[in-house]
Amino acid sequence: MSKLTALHINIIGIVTALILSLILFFALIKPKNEDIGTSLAATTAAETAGGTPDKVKAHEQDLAKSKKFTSVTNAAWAINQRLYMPRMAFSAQEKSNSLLKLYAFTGLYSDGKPYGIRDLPTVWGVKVKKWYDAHYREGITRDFGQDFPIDSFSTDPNDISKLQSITFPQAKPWHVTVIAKTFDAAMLHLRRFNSMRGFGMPVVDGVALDGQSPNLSLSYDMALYIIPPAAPPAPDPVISGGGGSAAPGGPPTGFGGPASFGGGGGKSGKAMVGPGG
Amino acid sequence: MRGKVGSFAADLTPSIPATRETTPMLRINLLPPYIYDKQKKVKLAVFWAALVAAALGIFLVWFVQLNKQLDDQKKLEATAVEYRTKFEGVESKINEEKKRRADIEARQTFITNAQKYNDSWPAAFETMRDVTVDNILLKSMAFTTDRKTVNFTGFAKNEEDIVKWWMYLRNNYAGPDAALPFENVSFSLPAHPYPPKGSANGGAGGFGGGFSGGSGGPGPAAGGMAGFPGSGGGGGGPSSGGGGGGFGGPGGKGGGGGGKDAVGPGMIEGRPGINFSAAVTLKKPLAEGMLTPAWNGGGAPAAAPGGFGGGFSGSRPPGGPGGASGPSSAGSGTKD
Repeated sequence: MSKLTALHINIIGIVTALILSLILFFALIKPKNEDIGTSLAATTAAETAGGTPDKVKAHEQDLAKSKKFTSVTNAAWAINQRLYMPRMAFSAQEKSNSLLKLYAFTGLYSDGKPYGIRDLPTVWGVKVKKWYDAHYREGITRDFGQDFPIDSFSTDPNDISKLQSITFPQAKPWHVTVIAKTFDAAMLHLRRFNSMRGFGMPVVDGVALDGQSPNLSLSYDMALYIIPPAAPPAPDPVISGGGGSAAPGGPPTGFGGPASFGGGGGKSGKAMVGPGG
Repeated sequence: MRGKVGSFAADLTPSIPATRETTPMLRINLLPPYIYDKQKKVKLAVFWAALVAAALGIFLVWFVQLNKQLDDQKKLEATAVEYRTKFEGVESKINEEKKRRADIEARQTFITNAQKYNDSWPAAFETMRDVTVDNILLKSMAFTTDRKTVNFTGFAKNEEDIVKWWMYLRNNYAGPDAALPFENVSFSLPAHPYPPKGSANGGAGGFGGGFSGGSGGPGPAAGGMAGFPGSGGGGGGPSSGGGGGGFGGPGGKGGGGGGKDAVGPGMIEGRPGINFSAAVTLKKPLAEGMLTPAWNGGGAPAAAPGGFGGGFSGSRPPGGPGGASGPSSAGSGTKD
């Protein structure tokens, strides 16, 4: 001490104060400041991502709206399904039906009667024609030769398992021409499509008018979309039909094996599938 | 040393004058400065020690304050995170709800769109009926594939009636005003050539009558020059003997006219008159431009041909261009 001068003491004091301040700043203050900054950023991020009471409340209201919308949509669909879609045996209750039964006997109901899925093209072709003919008194007549052909379904019952939707006709819409007695009858006919009950949803496109009353020619494309009420049943691995994987035929002498296995040879010249003579 | 000083002071006393005047005493410190150095150094050391201690204190107070601030901030963060967790929980419920109804919603949307689409056709035709004046007889009407233009053919007693109706439509229903239903109105009228004596009957057929503006390529107009580029193209001349084959209808755009007497003199129920063809372009396409609704199993792949149908995948694209490939391609103006 005796050897230190005042200058020395000042220098030591300044240096000590400085070093101590630096140490304290970097050891205590700076980390805390950083922690506060990090926490602030995390808070801001959380708030931006919905972490405020207002946003939560608004979202809860959205959820309530969404639930309401779901119930409204379900109710609307239930009505439209009843109006437009035929009753199909694809429901939780009826799924236990065998695939073959659905295919051949009770796949769907039309006008209260059960039909196999395989009969759909025939039933629908006739049904659509009848619908048109029912409007004869309203001044609508099918054009000469106007029919509603529908290709047959697959002959393999297991293809029902692929049945997510049905479109009639399958390849492209029918081109329909009807003769309307008046312009108003033609327009009424067009408006009637939205009230076709149990046919599937009809979609009319490319409407054109030609000629004069009482032979006003109204032409358009029309397709029917049937949406099954539920997913189709799974395929039955035990059965196969049509062009499916059939057991090999009988001996190579030309006579087929048991007919039920399919794929067998046929007697010469005789049709094995289809109406016989 | 001290004795010496005392005696020295005593020696000075007699020299003070007897007048008893008091003179301020001047304190004289004759001690050498190094005597005080130690005291100064101690004071200085104490000062610096105090300063360092004060700095330490300030930092500690600062630290405590920061700690408190951090605690508060952490609480805020915890609250925000808690709310965010709630928010995310609600959001996940909303998403589940959307997912739950997605299939039904898609079905319902399809039905709604189909209903709207089906209803748009009669509405559009009735609009055309409503703007048609009494002395004009419409013979055919069809939309182009984009469902924005209505091509139609008609019959009037004379050209004057047609032009009057054209003016009526142009002045009352077409124009840039958003309230008006049509963007433009175009007509194909018979050509008025001057065939010099001796020239071939029927001549070149003029320009096919295609004065229309708007979209569309030149009409085929067999027997005459193609019409000016325009909606519906140019119809063939009155004696052209058939051109593009009537209105394209849903399968085609433009290329109109050209039927046996699509544009030109005609006869209805024994009354002579003029056949014409025309087109109006709508401001808003049919059903607000919606594509033809179709259902393909809610995104499931369509079944192979020969299966159960499966449907048209997605919305059917509009048919390609080509005047003759529409439902009304049998030719307009052939029924009179």
